[in-house]
Amino acid sequence: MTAMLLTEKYRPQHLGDIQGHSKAIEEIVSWLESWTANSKPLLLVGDPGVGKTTIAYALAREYGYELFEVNASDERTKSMLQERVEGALVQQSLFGTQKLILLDEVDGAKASERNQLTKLLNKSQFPVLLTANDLYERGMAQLRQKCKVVKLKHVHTNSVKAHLKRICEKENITYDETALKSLASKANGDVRVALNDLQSIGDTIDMHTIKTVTPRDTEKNIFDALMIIFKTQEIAKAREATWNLAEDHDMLLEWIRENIIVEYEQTADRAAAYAYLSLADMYRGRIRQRQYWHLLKYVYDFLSGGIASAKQEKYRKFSKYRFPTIIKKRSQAKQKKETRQAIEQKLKATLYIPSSAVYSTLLWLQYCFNNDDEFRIYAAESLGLSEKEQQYIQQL
Amino acid sequence: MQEIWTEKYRPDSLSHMVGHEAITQRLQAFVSQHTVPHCLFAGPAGTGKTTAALAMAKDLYGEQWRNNFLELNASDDRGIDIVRSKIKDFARTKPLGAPFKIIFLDESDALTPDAQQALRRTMERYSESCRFILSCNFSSKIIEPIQSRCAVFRFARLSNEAIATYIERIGGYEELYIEEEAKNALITVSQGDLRKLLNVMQAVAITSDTIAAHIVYEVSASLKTEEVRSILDKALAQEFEQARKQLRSLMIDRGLDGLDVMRDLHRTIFELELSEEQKMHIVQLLGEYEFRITEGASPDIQIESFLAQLTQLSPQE
Repeated sequence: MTAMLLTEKYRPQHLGDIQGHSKAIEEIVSWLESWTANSKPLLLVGDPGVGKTTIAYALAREYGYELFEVNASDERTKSMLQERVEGALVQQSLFGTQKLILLDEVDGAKASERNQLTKLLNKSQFPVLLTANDLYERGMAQLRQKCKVVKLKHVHTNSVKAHLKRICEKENITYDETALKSLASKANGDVRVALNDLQSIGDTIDMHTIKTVTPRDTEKNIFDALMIIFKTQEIAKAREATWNLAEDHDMLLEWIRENIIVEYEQTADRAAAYAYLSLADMYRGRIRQRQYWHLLKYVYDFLSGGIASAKQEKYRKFSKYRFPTIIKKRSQAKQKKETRQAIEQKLKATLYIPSSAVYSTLLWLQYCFNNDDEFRIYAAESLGLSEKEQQYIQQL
Repeated sequence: MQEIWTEKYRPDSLSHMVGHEAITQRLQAFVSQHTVPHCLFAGPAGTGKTTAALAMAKDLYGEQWRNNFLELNASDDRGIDIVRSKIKDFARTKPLGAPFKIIFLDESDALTPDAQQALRRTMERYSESCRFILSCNFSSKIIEPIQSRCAVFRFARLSNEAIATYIERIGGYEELYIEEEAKNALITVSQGDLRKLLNVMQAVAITSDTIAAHIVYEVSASLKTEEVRSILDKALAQEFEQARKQLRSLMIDRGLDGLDVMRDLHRTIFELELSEEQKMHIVQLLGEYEFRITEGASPDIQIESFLAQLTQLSPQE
């Protein structure tokens, strides 16, 4: 077996060798062919291992460009970045050939660096190709607008399998078709992962040997998790959906809470789902109060299996899940709460009232404030209420 | 007229207390002998527990009362540790021109049994220089060792006659004309709670010198959140989304506390047009969800979940 990394050895050299992506490649080629100094830079977006860098290299080779690569996350300081990128963007190539500039992984750069990049792009006298994993990463908006965006979809399992098969034959690896397919599907569209797995298994690929490949912890998207939890009626599937989720249990709870009524229409289903939500919330409280972290598994059980099993029947529809609106409102609410607590302290100190009478006293003050301005001014002074606190009471 | 009546008419001597003659006499005896034991004042809200403690302090210390009297709330949001350190700071310095200081601890029954044990030790440690007056709604919630160290005073709700006399007295001071029917209305809405009575009277007096029954009821109703009723109705009519929306605006936009909403929900359940059985079923549900809050759950999520359960109640035939 080869000592070289398969991923490097079999990196496609020509655009035609690249698995899938035929439409995207067409777009990229036409961008390069019609490029003028006024053209927008091209931003290639796709998950790791789908072939962004491979495409850039193959493109340069095929069209006779000298590829000048700057990995944004490699350049540690702003000035270094400026120097390298700016130099590349305006200086002629050493050999008088055309240059293609590749700015790899721009979403990995710090926000300040990214802003600088965005500014530098205007100066470029050569075509610039940028790559990123996530188009919606924070701070990508500016860059996104400046560029022509081409998205690379996941490579289809069949394409990955075909690629693996060809390599097995060249490398004299014995394989069985089902095992190869399962290896391809495990890679989840990441060709690099598939090749690394293939190399790590050795020279026989069968259902037994592929078991040694441990699945990588890829972070699941919250929308996917929600879809599984809301659509499935199998507890096992629902529970699994919460594994490797980027969001923590607090966020998951808010997402579920926001979307119960989006998915479930029957009041019985909603009530059952809310009963589990309430339990999850209570266990969360117990963890918080007593640091009983071993209870965390129940929070997840209720949020996944509980919510999934709450429905009588599946809803066969497309649901557009929404971001928990409550999160945005929370900081507003926090301010209000602080105001209220400040008022409460003052009322207790001046009127000697117990906690249980605070609320009715607030409503009483509201009534009096709104009916008699003179009273408001006098009472506010004797209670020591600020302008803001008076407003709080009046709008209660 | 602009002064807050509950403060304006708070008696500054035991001799001006309304009702509670037996209690007042015993407290006056403490004052004249200059010996006060630890005390436990038990009774419903607005019956005069705090007032009695303040009046006794003023009788005992005269001008110096503020230096020798500390009022604390056991259910301080900032926690029992704050309460304990305040007691320590206050108890450390010598009383001014008196043999001892008084610490009045309101809402003592909000303390957990463990916190009460700690309080007992604190009481013993500082009993040389301090006397404690604990105030609570239910003496049964105070642990036995504390009760046995205290002289217990039970503040009953004021009788309707006592309240009627009081209404006339205040009406006289404030030059109000109080219709006969309005007097009964005031007695009904105040439920033996003088604080509530004075608040309602002052609110009515703000708009008119004549106190009429219908205004009394109107004002009293405005001292409750109407939305709570509407939220309950929506949930029971299976309009959960609407109910949830209203609840959120109440709690988030207006910043209402979860336990306030719980309290109003509890009160409102009994006004609903449902069978007795259904009402009790709802009370059970509410109790369970309120308990979860004490277990550390979030009030807003629990109330939302409670409303979702209400949609499952079979409609009244």
